[in-house]
Amino acid sequence: MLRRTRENFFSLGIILIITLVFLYYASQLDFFESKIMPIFIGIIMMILLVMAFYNEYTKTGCLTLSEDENSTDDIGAHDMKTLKCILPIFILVGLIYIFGFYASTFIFIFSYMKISGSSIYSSIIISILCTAFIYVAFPILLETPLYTGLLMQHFNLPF
Amino acid sequence: MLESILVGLGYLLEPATWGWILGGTLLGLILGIIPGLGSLIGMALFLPFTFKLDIMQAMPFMVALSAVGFTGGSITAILLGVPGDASNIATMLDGHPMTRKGEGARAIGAALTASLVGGVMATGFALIMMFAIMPIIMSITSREMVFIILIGLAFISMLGNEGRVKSLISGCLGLMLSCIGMVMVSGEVRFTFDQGFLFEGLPIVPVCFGLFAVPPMVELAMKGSEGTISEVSLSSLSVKDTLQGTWDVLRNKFLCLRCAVIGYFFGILPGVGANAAVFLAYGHAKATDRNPDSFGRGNVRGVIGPESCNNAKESGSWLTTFALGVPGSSTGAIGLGALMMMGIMPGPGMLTEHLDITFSLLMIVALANILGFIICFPLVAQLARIAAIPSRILVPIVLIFIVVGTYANRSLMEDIILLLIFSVIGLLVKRFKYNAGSMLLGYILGTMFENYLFISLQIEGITFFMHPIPLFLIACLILFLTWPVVRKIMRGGHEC
Repeated sequence: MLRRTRENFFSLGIILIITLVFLYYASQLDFFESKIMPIFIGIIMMILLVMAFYNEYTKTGCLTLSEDENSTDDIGAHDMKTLKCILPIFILVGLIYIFGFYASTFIFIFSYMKISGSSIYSSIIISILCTAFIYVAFPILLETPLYTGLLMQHFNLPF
Repeated sequence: MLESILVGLGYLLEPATWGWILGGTLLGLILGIIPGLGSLIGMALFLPFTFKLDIMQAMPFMVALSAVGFTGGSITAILLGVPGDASNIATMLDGHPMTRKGEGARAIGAALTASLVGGVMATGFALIMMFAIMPIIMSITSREMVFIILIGLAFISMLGNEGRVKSLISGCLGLMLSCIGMVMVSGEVRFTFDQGFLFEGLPIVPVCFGLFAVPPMVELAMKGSEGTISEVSLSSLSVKDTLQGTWDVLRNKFLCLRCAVIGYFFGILPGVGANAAVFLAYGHAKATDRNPDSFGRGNVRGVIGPESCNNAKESGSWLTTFALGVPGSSTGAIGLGALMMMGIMPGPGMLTEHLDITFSLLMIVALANILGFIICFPLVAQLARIAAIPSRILVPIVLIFIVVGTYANRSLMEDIILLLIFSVIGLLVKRFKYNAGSMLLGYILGTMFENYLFISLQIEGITFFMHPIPLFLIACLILFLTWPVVRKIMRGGHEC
């Protein structure tokens, strides 16, 4: 219960900081027409945050702990696992910047499947099929050229 | 007039027209099913081909493609939790939980039937109202739009299961996001931190993917091969279950009708778009349900409402595009461009000089929906196999499509950075139990609200709302916001 309450206060606190920064930048805008809407939204947000903090404080509002909450230890482990699982997306983007879409597609799918326990043959076949599909679907059929990557551009390679 | 209708029917009897309709329907379904694509990209890429085609070749293809794109998108939204299109997000909110409960076929049956009913009924509305709609559309100005959007924003509080305050906070965060970019009225650039790719505002694709597509994939990756998607039993996705979904639509026929009306109404309103309409339909389905708490956990009415609505919207959108020359949606805008490229100026002339074409194209919306239903319904089990793919295969492939789809939208690498940022935001929203749907609605409607508000203020001053329709809309808005209290009073305070 306390853990959940702290988390609610933490998230509301983050939103409060974002709102204050948002309001500060809105006040620095040059034209009245530009700043009126952000300031209006900021004020509404501040009112809502006061209501949320009040609800949380009195434990009678919507932010109280629901019955199906995980235990404290489970929540910590869950967060760590989430961080671990979002990491591949960042790796994929890094690969795309260096190798471009085609090579990255192959490397990413092959590595992910192999690490997850797939056989080497299925990993290779699916990686090749996906790369081929993306090559056919986007640059050829949809006429949308894809980014080729720093490395490929540097060495002037075809992909 | 009768002669034009007969000529229009004549177009529909030509085998070549049917070939274009079938081609457009198939492509629309396929693009809708593939995450990150959708009918909008398909239409945009088909645009260059219209140079070499006759209007009754190109337009049936494009109209059919746009008509069933949402139907295809609903399949991935339900089975994978990855909306094929932003308009399928509302379907995903309850459709995907149904898949997790082993009711995927039922959800798909409901979605296909609701799409069919919504699309066909809305075409009926469009045909009946084709001549009457002109004065109605012309009477809607920016001052009415301000309050229509406000009603949409008020519906934010109905979304989510975490209480009104959290939903409204999420909506306000979305409104904050909508402030990014150039202000139309002053021309000043706001909250972009001198990043050129943000001058036109935040692109919707990375925002949608980050908030709605990446978190389910992360969740699936966390569960590994024991994930609920990979555990879906194909044997449970039977025709009987699919028919159960059809029966659900029949049982909720009035909801389906009302949501089709909502979709049609939003479709004819220029610029409001499908996203606001489907969330309004979802909110309506939730508000009229006896057990609103079950929404978000796999309530079939949460599938029927949005699906009926988003297919119904297309008929209204096309009618506005043809009759006024004002696109009712992004697909309508591309269709408008195609018509102009073929030398036909959309507008009132489409109802006088080209009534036959307008009539047949509106009929094609209904025909495409029927074809889409016929193609999809018997193939539910085959389509459902997507859900049985092991997560170790599914996750990397879907992630690749998300990233490639994000890039393909504007061909900007910066959009991928935005995708990463919104993926983290999406995970945090889920982690702290805020509402991503409310955030997206606020983001979509924010810019439109600001623009219409300033136009109204500049034209008519601060008393711009002192007209019958805005006052009626204000009354509706007040009634909606105070409805829980009013209902409590009406029931004598016995119910909380």
